[in-house]
Amino acid sequence: MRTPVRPDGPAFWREVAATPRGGAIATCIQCGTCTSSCPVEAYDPSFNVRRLVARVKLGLREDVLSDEALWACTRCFACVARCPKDVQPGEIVEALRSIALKEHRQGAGPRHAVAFADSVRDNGRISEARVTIESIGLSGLARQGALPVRMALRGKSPSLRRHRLRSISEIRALLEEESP
Amino acid sequence: MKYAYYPGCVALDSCSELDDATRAVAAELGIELVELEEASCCGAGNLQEVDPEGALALNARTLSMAEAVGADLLTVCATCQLYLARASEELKDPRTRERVNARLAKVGKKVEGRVTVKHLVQVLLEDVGPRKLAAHVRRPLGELAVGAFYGCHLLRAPGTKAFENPEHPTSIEHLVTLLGGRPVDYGARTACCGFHVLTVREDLAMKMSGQGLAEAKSAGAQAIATPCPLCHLVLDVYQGKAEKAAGERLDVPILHLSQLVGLAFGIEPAKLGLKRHMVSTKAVVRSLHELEVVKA
Repeated sequence: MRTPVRPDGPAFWREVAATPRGGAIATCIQCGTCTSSCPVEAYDPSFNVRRLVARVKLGLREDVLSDEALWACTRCFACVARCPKDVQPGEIVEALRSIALKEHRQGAGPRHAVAFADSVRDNGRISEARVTIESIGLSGLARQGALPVRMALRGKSPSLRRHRLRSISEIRALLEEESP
Repeated sequence: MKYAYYPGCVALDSCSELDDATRAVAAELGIELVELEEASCCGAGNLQEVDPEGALALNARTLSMAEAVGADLLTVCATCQLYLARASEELKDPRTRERVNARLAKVGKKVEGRVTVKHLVQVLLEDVGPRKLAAHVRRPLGELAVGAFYGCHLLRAPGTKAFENPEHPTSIEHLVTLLGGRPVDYGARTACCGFHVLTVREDLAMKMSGQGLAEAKSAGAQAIATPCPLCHLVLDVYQGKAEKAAGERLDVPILHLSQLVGLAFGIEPAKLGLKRHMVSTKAVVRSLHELEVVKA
């Protein structure tokens, strides 16, 4: 099913094509159906998924992996549903984020992904309060203003207590040693 | 009818009213829910980015627990549905299964690939069926105008078998009609709420959800029904901020689909957690009570 990537293609293109979810990148015809379906691009043109694929094809590795816009994708998969060549652009975004995380790239996106994974490793499930605070930081929490208080008044707050699975040792045994 | 029940993280944390409402509806329909109490998080895409093979192994572990129950897996979250169904599809490949089982052997588990992952919407329409559902409706929703908000991952779920047409879904409107309500058509019913960038790009999430809510409101929706607690979180908890992004007063009550079904079944609103919302659901409950008075 996977189209072989041209052996003379840029190394970065071949690297992405070799990932479990990036394989279909070679079939992209740059038609732009993905970008015109993208709700993120409608508000923030710096996230342009067609161009993202083009930049991978051009081998612009550092440019792509250090781009904060990579973390603006909401995983809505409108691009995947509409792509006429089944390139699965949203899955290529996932593959690119994986590579960026392996390289310990910094920023709000990687911070959230790592906080999420850490919560799973520690407790087996997500503690919403903890993941939120670790993702946005105390300054981000301050910017939430009265919202946490209003949530508390409605009994709507996420729990502050730790709920750890009894079988947590199984979860840790199945995950990689530590987050990148 | 029995299911291995997977509430997911958010339905056990900030959206616990979804868990309450789902249990109440299942009890009414005579559905046995065997909760997978030791199941892990589905990964929600984040763990898949950080540790793809580990995320697949965790979901394979959850599926093996459902196999032990001997029932299909029931989810109540669009994102849980995507990542568990995707794992289930991947594990149908014998080579993938062998590789994942080698890892699962470390914790004494094995997955055979026998379980189907189903969201509540699918269970209600396909397993319970319209006739039985309609028979349980004791408090029809009357003229309540309900806008569906499907949630991306119920419709657009790469690597899984589609339950319905992602561009023209009908399941929630069908359910609303069966419950005696009036479905409202609007463009953003298949749109994205922005949940998955809420902590990274709150500005985007607010613009996206603000537009969706404004569209539903201008189409005349008195309430929105969503089959996903993540959509619920953005549309309900953050609605005040979405109003600022949309530049207009919204005040649209957001119901979990289970709550809407429960209301139509005549279950007490308190049992469905209808007060545990940021946007008041009073107007919805009042309109149903008034209707009942008329009926009596």
